[in-house]
Amino acid sequence: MNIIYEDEQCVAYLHAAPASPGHVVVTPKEKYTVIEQMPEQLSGHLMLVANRMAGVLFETLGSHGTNMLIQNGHGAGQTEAQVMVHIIPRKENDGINFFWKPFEDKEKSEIAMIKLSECSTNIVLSDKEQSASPIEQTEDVEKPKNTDWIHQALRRIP
Amino acid sequence: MTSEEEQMRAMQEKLAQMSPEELQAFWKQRCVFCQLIDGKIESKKAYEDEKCIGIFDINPASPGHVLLIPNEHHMVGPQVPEDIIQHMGRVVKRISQCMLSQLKCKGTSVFIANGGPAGQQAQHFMMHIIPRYDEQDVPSLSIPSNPIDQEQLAKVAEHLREYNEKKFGIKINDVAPTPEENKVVEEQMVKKHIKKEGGYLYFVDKDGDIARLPMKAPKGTPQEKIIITELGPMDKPAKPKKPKKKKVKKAKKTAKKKTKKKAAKKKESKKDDEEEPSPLEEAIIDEGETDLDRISRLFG
Repeated sequence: MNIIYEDEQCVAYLHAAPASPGHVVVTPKEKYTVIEQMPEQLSGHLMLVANRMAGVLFETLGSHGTNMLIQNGHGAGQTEAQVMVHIIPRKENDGINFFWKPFEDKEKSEIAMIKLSECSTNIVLSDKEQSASPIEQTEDVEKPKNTDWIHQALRRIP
Repeated sequence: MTSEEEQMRAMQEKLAQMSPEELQAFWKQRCVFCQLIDGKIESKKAYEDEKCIGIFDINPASPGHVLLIPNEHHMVGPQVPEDIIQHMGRVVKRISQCMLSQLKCKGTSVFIANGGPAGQQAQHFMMHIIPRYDEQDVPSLSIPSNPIDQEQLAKVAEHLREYNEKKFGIKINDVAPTPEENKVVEEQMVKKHIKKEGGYLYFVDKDGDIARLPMKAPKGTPQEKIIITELGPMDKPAKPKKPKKKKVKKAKKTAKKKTKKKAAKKKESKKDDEEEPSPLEEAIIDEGETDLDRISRLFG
């Protein structure tokens, strides 16, 4: 399974068909198809673990840079029905290119901005989840294993 | 030698002699995004709180492209304190939610570039949240896939596993689940069922499909799971239109029922702290749009 990180809420493993060697995927243990389904706290935790893994790739594989990408929804190219954060180690001139062309229709952009800011400027993060502190695993190392089931969800061949 | 080249060389020498702390301060001074956060440069804000801001990209990949930027100056992700990253992760979820509801896009891409070789252009860490209207609108945001020597991969994983166990003080179990364990999982999923209707329990099974089970099976026959909507392998041919309409109707019905249930549950939860709504249902409370609605819109 090539799992490289595990805690109560999520696991990280090496992709079997990587974009570049060392391509890591972080995914929640529970079944969520898109980010919007996840509780806020988990969404934050997932990003935290993904960021930790990016740091590990810098430290161990000597990557010169990392890309992190979440494909959220079919329209974004998601191929498996599980939230996945891809972390792709990068080197100079490795042939991978994520650059995009700027969208040129300014009028459309303007409309989208107005529509979106109506909603996004009013976001209030829920207090209940804010109080949930970051997870430090050092103390409770020995816990009953009951979470291996994620392995199934991890590798689904479409 | 022109004066410009001289300046460049002087700058390079200056940079080479600086300590890491000085370098950080130097880049912070010249950082466009720090000036933007301080209000020295005008920008269109999509979101703002004490830890980070979301602004609209001036060169968007698609209409509504948002950059989420921490207020503190950090160059790459691993330098950012963990509480800020966590906070940003939560904001990303909420902004992505807004995009889906306001822009009627079919998905969102969350993209981060750490370091020059990864395509980072500014000296300030940021998350791109890009609404996606169809698969082809930002074709570059697809992940290539290459075959790799699996034995070698296992060795690298072993190495990383050991490293992480030491670094984070965790134990990692790299064993595939047994059929018994899978059964336990399925039972858990059934417990978290979406709804009860007509003698059936509806739940999301471990493959992500929506399935139903008879609540009381006749004696002597095993309970048989019936899969209703398959969300699993997504490259299956699209289903004909008629059943789709039915699905949406069903979802709407369940939405109404759920909101009623939730209202009831909220009252109960004041008395009983044990009966908290599951995360799935909580996600629904936030929106008023059900999972089924959302999934059928995103994948339908």
